[in-house]
Amino acid sequence: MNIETLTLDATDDGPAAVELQIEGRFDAHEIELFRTAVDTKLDSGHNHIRIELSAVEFVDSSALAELVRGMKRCREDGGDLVLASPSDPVRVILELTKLDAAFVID
Amino acid sequence: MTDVRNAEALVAARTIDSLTSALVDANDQLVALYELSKSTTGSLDEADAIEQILEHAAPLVDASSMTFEIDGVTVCTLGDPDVGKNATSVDVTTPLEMVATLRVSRDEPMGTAQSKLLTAIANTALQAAHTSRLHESAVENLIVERDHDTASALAQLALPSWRPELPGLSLFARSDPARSAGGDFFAWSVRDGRLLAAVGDVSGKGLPAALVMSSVISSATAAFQTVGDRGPGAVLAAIDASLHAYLTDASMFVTLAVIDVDASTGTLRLVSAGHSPILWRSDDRVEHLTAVCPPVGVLELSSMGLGYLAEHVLDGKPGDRLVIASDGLTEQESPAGVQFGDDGLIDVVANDKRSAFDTGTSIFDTIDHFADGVEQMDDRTLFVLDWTAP
Repeated sequence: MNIETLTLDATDDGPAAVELQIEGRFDAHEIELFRTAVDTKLDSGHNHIRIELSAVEFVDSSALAELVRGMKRCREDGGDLVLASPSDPVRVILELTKLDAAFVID
Repeated sequence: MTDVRNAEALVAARTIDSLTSALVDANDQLVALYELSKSTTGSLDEADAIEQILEHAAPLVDASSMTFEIDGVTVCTLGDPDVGKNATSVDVTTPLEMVATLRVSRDEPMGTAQSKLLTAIANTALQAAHTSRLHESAVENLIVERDHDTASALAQLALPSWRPELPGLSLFARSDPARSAGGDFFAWSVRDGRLLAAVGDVSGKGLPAALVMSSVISSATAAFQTVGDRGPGAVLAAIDASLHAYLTDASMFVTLAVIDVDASTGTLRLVSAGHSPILWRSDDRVEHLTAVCPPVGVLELSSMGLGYLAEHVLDGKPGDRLVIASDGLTEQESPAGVQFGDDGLIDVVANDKRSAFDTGTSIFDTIDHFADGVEQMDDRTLFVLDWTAP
């Protein structure tokens, strides 16, 4: 899995959002890398995080749990974690698990 | 000429003396190294082992005192370091980045050959320390491994060891964790001729998931007793209310299907919190029973405004079949990296008309054959409930 970070334009009502682009398999082997990336952004004041998922080939329950954890942390801080452009395999999993009702999906 | 010859003889004699002295020194070194090699200790205690080595080595370098430090911490001191007139020290390291210093005091200055011997002594002592620490680490790992195995076995004991028997229903249930313990589970209760059951999957794997799994089973068992008469939605809501905060703290969630089957009428009521796949076969048709809400631990159900959790209500009759599996079954990969998939499971469910036990066992065998040696990547759980002639 690869994670790349982009800083998005600042808005009038808050700090700049950040986007994490994830590629490849997103599973139990990758969650530490993802958790560190998300926590680093949150600790530096970014509570609006977009997770770009268009290039994710596979996501397992451990990875979904990390997305949920990140979403909860962002919302506790007054922000949100948005799932952007999920690939078909990710979208199917989100629909089957009804997690699409819990996340903001862009 | 005579003076010249005398001078040459003198030079030759001195050369011979020098060579003889060098040979004696070399021989002394060999003897000392031989003696040092005999100092190899049988003790695995670090301080004991080093003390034995230094006691053996001190006479070889005529040391009044010897002090051995590892990473700046004194491990052993022999004699009084203030007694000798001449002090010297040598630093040695291991590939594991342990740094040791051997300090020696003696009456005479240290020669070059003895300095090399000192290095050999320091290396021998450091090697003994290294061996001792490796042994200590291995013992600690064994203790942790044993505790892990015990905890895993205890967690798996949370799964029910009995099978409910109700007229007109036949059940197969099996859970194979990917490691010594896992987060997949089932639990059930029989009340007034009704089967209440929960089948689920805690996110993650291994002992952490198994520990949460045992809590979910406890919560489900309590909910069966307290609100089971109000149906599967009430059971799910009760489990969510009792576990949401705990799951949030644990950064985990649980996909969960809860069923309520009235054995006298065959009616199935089912509600799913993010669990998939759930298949219903009736009249040779197989359909997915979809989830009504996200997994437990994601959003508090009471905060979602759902009010009433929509249930699947199905009138079961002999020949009908309910299959609840975990994603570890359908996501198992072949050597070519292809997943078994929901379609593979649907195919078996649609066409295998044997008993719940035979079909369930066959599905596990089919997955094993499909994996063809590829590591089991996730916990595998299968729950097959058949409606049979009473």
